[in-house]
Amino acid sequence: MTNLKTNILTTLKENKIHMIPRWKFILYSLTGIFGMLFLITLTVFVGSLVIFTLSRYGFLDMSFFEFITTMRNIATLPLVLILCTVVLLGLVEYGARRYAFAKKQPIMITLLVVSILVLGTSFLIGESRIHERVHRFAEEKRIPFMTRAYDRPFERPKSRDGLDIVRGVVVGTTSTSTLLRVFNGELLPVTATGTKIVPELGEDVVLFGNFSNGTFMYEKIRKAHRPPFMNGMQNGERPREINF
Amino acid sequence: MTVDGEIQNDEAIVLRVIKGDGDAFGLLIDRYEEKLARYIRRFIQNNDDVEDILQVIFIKSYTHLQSFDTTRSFNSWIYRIAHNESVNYLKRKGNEKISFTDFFDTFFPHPFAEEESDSHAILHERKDQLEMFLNKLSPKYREVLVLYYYEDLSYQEISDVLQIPIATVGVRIKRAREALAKVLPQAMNQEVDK
Repeated sequence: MTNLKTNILTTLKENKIHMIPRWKFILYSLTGIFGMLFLITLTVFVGSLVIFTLSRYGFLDMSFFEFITTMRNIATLPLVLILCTVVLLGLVEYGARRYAFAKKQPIMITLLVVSILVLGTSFLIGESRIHERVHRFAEEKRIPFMTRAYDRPFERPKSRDGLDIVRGVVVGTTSTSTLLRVFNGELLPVTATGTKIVPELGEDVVLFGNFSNGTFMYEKIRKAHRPPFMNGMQNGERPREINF
Repeated sequence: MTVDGEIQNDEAIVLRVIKGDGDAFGLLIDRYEEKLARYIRRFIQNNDDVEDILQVIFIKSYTHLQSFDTTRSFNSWIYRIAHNESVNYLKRKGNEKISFTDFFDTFFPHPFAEEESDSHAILHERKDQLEMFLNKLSPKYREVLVLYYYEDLSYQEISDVLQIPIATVGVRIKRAREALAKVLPQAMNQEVDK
C-alpha cells in the first residue's frame, strides 16, 4: 500500500473528511437553475421594454436610412435600457456556459442561440400589449421606479442636427393643426411643414420633424405598421374636430 | 478486488463507497494513482507537488462523490478533477503564460474530426516518438496527445475531461501531430498526409 493510499484511508477512517451530501448538490443545482431563470426573465423584460419603447416612439417603423438620420438625435433612444439589455445578455451567456452541455458547444453557437431566444422573446413581448398593461398597473399602484421606466418626455435635448420622431393616433383636427395622442396619453399638436400630407382622424402615424414652442412641426409622415397601442382611442372615444 | 469472482467496474465501486464502504475507495486509489501521477507529471515536474496534487484530487473526488452520476464514466470524471487541479496549481505558481485553451478553438465550430482507429503497432510506435518531443509542445496540444495516446481516452472522453467540443478535440490532435511533424518529419509525415 502506497503512502498516499494509507494517508487517505486513515483520514477517512478517522472521519476527518466527509462526503458532501447529495441534497446539497441538488440544492446548488436548483439555486443555479432558478437564478438563471430569474436572469433570463429579467433580460427578456428589459429587452422587451426597449422594443416597446422603440416601437411606440416609431423607431421600428423607419427605414434604415431614416433610422441613421434620427440616430443623430441620440438622446431620444433609451440608451440606458439598451446597455442594461446587453449587459444582462452577457450575464445570461456566461451563466449558460457554466453548464456542461453548453461548454461542449462552440461559444459562437451558444451566443447565437441565447441571443436569438432572448431577443426573439423580447421582441414578441415588446410588440404585444403586455407593457401597456404593466405601465397602466404601475401608474394605478404608483410604483415609482416602474413608471419612470415608461414615462419619457418627448421633447429631449438634441445632440446634433437631426429629426425628432413621434408616433401617435390622430384624435382631433383643425384647419391648420392636428392633435395627436401618443402612447402615454399625452396630447400633442402637430403641424405639417414641407409636406402637404395631413393624417386623417383615427390614423396611427409616425411623424419626423422638430419641436417648436410645444408644437411638433413634421416634415415627413408615414403610417405606423406596429400593433395599435391602447391609448390611441380611449373608451369608445370617437375622432372629432376640436379647437385648441 | 472482485465480488463473487467478478471484477467490479469503477462505477460499481463508487456506489459501494457512497453506501458506506470506505475501504472500497482504496480500490479506486489503486486503479488511478499511477495513471493520474503520470498524467500530472506531463505538466508538473516536482515529485512532492505531484504527490500533493494527487492527494487533493482523491480527497476532492471522495468529498464530491455524491455528485457523480454513476451512469457516466468515472474515468472521465476523475481526469476532469485532475485537469482542474493541475491548472489551479499552475496558476497559483504564477505560470500565467501557460495556456490550456485557445479562444478561437472554442469560439468557432469545427467540422467534425473523425477519431482514427490506430492499430496497436502504430500506437506503440507513436508513443515512443511522442515521448521524446512532448515537452516541446504547448500544454494545450500536449494535454490532448497525453490523454489520447497515453491515457487511452476516446475523443468523447477527452471532450468530457476538458469540457470542449468533440470537434475541437479532433482539431487539436491534428494540429498537435502537425506541430510534432516539424520535429519528427520522417516519422509523422505519412500519418499527417492522411
